[in-house]
Amino acid sequence: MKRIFQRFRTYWPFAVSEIQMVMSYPANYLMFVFGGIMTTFVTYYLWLAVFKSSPTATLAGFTLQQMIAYVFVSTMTSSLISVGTDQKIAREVRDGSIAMNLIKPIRYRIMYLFKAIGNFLHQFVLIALPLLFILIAVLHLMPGGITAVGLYVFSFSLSFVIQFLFDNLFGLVAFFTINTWGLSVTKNVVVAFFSGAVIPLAFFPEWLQRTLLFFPFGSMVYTPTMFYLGKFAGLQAAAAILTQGLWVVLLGILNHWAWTKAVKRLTILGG
Amino acid sequence: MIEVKHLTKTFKLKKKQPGLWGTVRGLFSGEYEAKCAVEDISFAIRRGEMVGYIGANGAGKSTTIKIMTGILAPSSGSCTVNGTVPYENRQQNARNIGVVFGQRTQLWWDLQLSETFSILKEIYNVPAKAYRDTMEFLDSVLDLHEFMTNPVRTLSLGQRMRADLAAALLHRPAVVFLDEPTIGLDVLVKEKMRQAIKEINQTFGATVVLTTHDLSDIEELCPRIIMIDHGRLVYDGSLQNIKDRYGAMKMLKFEVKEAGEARKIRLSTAGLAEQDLKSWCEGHSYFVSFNRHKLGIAEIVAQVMAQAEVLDISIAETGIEDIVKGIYRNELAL
Ligand SMILES: Nc1ncnc2c1ncn2[C@@H]1O[C@H](COP(=O)(O)OP(=O)(O)OP(=O)(O)O)[C@@H](O)[C@H]1O
Ligand SMILES: [Mg+2]
Repeated sequence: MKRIFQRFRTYWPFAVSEIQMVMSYPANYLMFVFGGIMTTFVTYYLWLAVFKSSPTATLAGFTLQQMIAYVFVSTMTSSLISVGTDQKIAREVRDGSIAMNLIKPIRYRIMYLFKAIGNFLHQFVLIALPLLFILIAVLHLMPGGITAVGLYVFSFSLSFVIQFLFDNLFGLVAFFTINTWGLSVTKNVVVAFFSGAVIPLAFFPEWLQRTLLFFPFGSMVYTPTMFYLGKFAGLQAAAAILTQGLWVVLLGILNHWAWTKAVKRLTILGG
Repeated sequence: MIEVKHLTKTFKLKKKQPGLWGTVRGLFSGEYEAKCAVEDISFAIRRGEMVGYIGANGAGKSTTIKIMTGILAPSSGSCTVNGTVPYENRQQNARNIGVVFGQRTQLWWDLQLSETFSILKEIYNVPAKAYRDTMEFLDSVLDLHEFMTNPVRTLSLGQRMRADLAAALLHRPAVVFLDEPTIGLDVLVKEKMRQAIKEINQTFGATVVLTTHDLSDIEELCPRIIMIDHGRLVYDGSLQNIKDRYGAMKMLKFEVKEAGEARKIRLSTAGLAEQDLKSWCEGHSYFVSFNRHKLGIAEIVAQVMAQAEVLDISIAETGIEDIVKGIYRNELAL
């Protein structure tokens, strides 16, 4: 217990400094928050228009109310879990500043986990809380009740870890190719589309839905959001959580393997 | 404390043809070029020693330091620092060492400087009392309080370097690696850096390995130097020894009226080894570098005066700079 506490004290400053860092450019940060909330509203009005012009009251099993909740929760989820770990690692490799982290008695990946937590925390306060306030207090949209919120929180923490491990894996690619900009852009588009952050996976053909749910993408945004909506129940809920758990383990192993390979290949640039 | 045995590091570089077309072709060719940065280097450094690790640009100094700090694995050979193999037990090694890479920083760029120190305190588990004592000591030599509350991004180069040195020493490492810690600093800041390095060596008994292109750093700090060139060890021994051997060299400079005359001057070199007497001319100047134990000034002056109309004469002692320059240019054999 004491050791865990000690570990925590060692890495916690990385989370805090991440928060302090964004706070040191307040104008930039406000724009970021504003942009995040704007995106939500743009998508919101888009779906509103889609539903207005549709002859049926439900689309792919979503009512308008559910769709609105989906938009809020999925944007929030995807912004909370996307902290850009892959780009940060790639940058450190490219300019060689990774050296300054490797000369410290810390685990590089744990350090990044804590940085991700720091990013999560400030985004939670400044983006998620306002969105949640509008969603619950103003629009009264909590379709699945309090149990669904609990399940969401649990599923969300798994999807946070999945996205983190996934990004880490992409960051490690930089150890081999040095520049990963193109790859990163492609990855972000693919993830945004296939994770359900843009369109609910329920709108895709049945076979694609199944495939995506089985890939880590679906586990990132779609699964937790569906929990919030109370749309996953019974066997389906169990399967979804199981899939998420499986991905955590699988990506964790893959990460460990890739890291041991990558760190041997690493050539610190510059100097 | 540090043991390096037959250390070799070869980088694999993808072969590239010049130009855009060459780049495109390079994408599809699997040809690699081996670039040997460090070749079969061995040395041992005892606890508490201060060693200057010197060599020309691209000699392989930083590469060796990277291996000793555990961030690069050698291609062959081995190295231990304080009993640990750095590239195998990176974290354990990191607890024992402090590192400054002159052109990088380990400070938190967007935070106040003081934050960096409190973060490092947690990372290295420095007890509160030791932290206070060390900070007080570092502040007294490096005058950190002047900019302690400024964001790191606003610090001047000299301030940043002082802070970086302090950051590397906060956990009182047993071994300190300094890769060009005085690069781009003015004389006063350099003096502060040297003072701090000297004191951590004397008060805490830290072992110091220092690379620099400023040889006055070496003269002031390092009784021993290890010199490498093109990845190979060319000298390992005392600075004094080099000075004794080559410090005997003096240089004479003659201003001659006619450039043509300067070129015609010939000195008699009977019975002298090549490195004991050398001469060359640049325009109206005629230079003679000679060993003052083997040859008298008067004799040289007399010979030159007999052959040309001399307007002015000046004498210069050969400094360590010239000696090392000579060794880099392969002029002086060791
Ligand atoms: N990642 C790399 N890939 C290919 N070659 C490299 C790499 N890093 C260094 N080299 C080469 O290895 C040689 C030694 O480089 P190194 O950085 O150790 O020199 P140095 O002695 O520190 O020089 P300087 O005084 O200029 O800092 C150089 O020729 C350099 O081009
Ligand atoms: Mg160097």
